[in-house]
Amino acid sequence: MSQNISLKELERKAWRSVFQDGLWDIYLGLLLLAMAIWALLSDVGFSESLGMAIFIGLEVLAMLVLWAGKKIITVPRMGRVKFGPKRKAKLNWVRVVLFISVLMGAGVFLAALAMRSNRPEWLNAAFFFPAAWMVNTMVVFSLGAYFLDFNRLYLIGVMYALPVPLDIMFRKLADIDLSFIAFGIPAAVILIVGLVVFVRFLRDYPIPAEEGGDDNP
Amino acid sequence: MTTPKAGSENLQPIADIDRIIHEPARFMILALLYVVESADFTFLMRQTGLTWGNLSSHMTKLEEAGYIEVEKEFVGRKPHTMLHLTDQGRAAFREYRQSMKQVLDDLPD
Repeated sequence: MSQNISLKELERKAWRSVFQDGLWDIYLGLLLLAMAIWALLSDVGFSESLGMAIFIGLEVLAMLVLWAGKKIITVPRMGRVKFGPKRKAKLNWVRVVLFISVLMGAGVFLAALAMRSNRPEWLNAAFFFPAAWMVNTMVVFSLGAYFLDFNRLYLIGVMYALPVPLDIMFRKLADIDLSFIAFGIPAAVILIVGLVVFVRFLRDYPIPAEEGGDDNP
Repeated sequence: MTTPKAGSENLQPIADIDRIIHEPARFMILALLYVVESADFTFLMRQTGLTWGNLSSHMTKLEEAGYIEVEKEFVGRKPHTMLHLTDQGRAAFREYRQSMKQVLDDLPD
């Protein structure tokens, strides 16, 4: 039994090394930062379409950072690994969760559009939209963290859940639009954590001196 | 092949332990390749803490025993070497675990 446990731990340690570089944190932080910048552009008077174009550009840039970082920085330091069927099955669960989340989001959005002129009173309540946002993000990120065995994703989930209620709270309290701050603070928290993990990774895993040409023994 | 002396039958399982696997570094490599589908040289080096030269010599022994197989693939345009356990290697590792467990469980307190 103890042998089973240690083999399980060995696989877990190998799997968790995938997230040791902090690049997923940085990617998710950049996505949220893009939303903050979009809000800022809107505040300073950029047109809706230009703001949206810059937002999409930043999202693509974040994806490029993740892809290039993995390829140029992580793989030469950590190497490459393919995991077994159990991990692949868990990844499929994450895809299912994300798909259901997108479907639910689209459903709520379409229902809200359909009821625009005749919206029930409970739907107009100030808490409904932020509560729905928080529950959805927390559930999705928590399930993702569970299936991916990626504990920092719980914290990232909390940071993603915060902006909408924070934004509404700022509006109520100060009567000014502080969406940039509401999205920017959680984005900064995720980015700082990601950067700390990333720097630690660079320090702990220098590129190994190869004695055999490429990666061949 | 020598015939076991009287009373040595109980120790036979210890003598039958696979010596290729019964070496800590090679055991680590096989255990790691047992729990993943395949991995490259750098990944194994990182996870086991072995040096390049050390890992390389153990890999050669494991390959000669037919326990691991080298898989050449292309990542972009660069050739890349992945290593995985063969069916024989997987069975040998399983058998080794079983034998060790049995030997250790049978030891008196």
